[in-house]
Amino acid sequence: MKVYRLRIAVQAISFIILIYGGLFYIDMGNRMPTFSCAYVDDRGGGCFLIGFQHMLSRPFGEFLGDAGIRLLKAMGIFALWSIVLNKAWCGWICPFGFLQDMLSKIRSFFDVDLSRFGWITRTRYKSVKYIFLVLLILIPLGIANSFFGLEKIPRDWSVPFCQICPARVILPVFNGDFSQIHIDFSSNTTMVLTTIVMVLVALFFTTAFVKRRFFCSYCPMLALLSLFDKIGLLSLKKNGQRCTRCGNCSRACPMEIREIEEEKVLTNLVTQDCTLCLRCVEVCPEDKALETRFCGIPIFTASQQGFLKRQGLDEESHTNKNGA
Amino acid sequence: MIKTVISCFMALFCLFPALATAKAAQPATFMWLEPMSWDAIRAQRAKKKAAITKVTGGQQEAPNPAESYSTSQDKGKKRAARGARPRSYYLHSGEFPQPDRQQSGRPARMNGQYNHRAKPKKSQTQAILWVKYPDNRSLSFAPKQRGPVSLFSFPAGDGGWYDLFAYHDQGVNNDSRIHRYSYTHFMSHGDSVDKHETNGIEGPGFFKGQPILEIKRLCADDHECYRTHAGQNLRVQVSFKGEPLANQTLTLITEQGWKQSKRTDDHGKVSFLLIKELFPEKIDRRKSENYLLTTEHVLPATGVLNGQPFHHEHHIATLPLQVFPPKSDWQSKRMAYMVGSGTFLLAGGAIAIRRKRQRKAL
Repeated sequence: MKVYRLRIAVQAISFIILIYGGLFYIDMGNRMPTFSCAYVDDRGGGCFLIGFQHMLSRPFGEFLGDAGIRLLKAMGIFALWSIVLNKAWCGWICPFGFLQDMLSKIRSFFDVDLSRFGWITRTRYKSVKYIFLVLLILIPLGIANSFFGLEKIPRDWSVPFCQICPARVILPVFNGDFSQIHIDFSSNTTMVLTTIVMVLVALFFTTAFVKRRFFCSYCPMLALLSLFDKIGLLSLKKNGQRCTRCGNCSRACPMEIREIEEEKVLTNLVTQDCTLCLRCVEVCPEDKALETRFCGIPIFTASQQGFLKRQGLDEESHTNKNGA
Repeated sequence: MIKTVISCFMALFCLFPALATAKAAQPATFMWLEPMSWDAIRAQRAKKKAAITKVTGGQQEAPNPAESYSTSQDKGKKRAARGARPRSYYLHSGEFPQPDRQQSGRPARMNGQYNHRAKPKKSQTQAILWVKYPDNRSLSFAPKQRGPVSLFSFPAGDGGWYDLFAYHDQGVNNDSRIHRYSYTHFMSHGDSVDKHETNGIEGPGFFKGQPILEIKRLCADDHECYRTHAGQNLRVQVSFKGEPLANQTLTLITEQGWKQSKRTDDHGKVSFLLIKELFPEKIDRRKSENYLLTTEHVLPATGVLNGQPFHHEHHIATLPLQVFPPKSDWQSKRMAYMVGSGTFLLAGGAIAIRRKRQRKAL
């Protein structure tokens, strides 16, 4: 079975569990490192970011008491989830990532060209997700505390990232809830934020249609997961001596990570943008050049035989063709 | 002309007894719970902070709010609540709507029926309050009574639904013994907790763990009860000693003084369409209006209480509601679809033009 197909199957099951799981009494908690939006009524689990922002919007003094313990507990659960599956949450489980992959499927069905970022563009916009992450921490803190004697941030800014997150609008629709599609005119702040989210929703559909996993490049959850990518139990290893730099991996990578092709020295290749979709391992034609390990045990290794099999070629004909 | 004058006289003649009765009727006294508004909480905090600064010159830190809980039981719960924000509620007693309540930009109705300078009478008996936590545990309170309004606070650190009950045995008045009940609930955000098995609350005002007279709100989901908006359908069930009360009259009273009465069906159920109140012109979706749903159940009962004989028992229950402005007043779906589709077309068009130019250049 192709890993790509297996991934789609796992994503589809995760999507059903995370969006409709509540109907089957599934509750995986509200600390999940994936965009399982808390605005979805029948969700089977909730995104960590909304609770995280709520917990941060408290006066500093309260963090010394019960609120601090709750925050630490929540971060501990999030860290545990993250360490176990690392960034495979993004590549294999995230419902929002699944939607983007489905849009890419539709694009390829209609034979529409794929867009790619240039090296400079990619480097320039790489830091946007970190800016989002810093803002989603600082703004809630500023709601309950005043920094440098400045005025406190108004309550309209509570859960700032969720207010501009397109998943908040799109995912409830799969639950039959269209209530998040609105512009809120109750204050200038909410009016601007809800307008921004509608713009982002439209951009999500247009950009995800022409570029694979466009939104993931700016996702603060990916930035937060990067804190644990080097200690995660699931890892991606590269043997630089076996790599022939054919470029298959970087071409197949939905996040267009070039380091996977160019890196010769580093062995752990779970980079900032990697979603551990394992597409690179799947398309690598060199024996043991790329390897996925769980707790140090290889679970999926690149091999010439496997590559040919997945391409629908047998080894003999390939050798003959090469020989010819 | 003569016919019109005669018919006017006839109409006045017929209406007169009804008008006279309405004037003679005493306004009903209720007991109801009301959450402390954010404005009041902020003002209270500022007042405390100012007092501390004045006394100590800002040297002393503000006391932990958990210390101010008026809990009478379960000291462990009090310890666990340190750092958790307390919830404060008022327990009102009197007529609804409150005549002295000053609402911004609106005429004060029912003037002349209430002398706000007169010192309110203190009741001889005290109301008892219960808070049922999301983990099914319950705490009882005996709030200090200061005239018609009492204030009480309790810790609410756990996430989930909290149920609040108030019961007051008002004693004997005009040959009737009066029992007053009030019930409300709210949801607190936070970590959900494991539930404990309980047999309900036992105490005065309760029968087999349930309030003797209860107006229970029926909700299809958490959203319906989390925040009530004007225009929604309010569905309730009335039960007396755990049994649904059929053909019972319920009256919904708004803060503006409008009333609507309905009777329950065979299952004790009834629904009201929440009418739109006079919200301020500048819509603030967090500003709410107070509505009160009331019912009175009278039973023949003979007895003597504190030397006063009575022949009837009046059970008066209330369900207070905070009704927020309707979503249609501050949300626009049409505008959202316009912005979304406009951006979609613009972005799609821009990508198509760019690709066309790139192809031409090649």
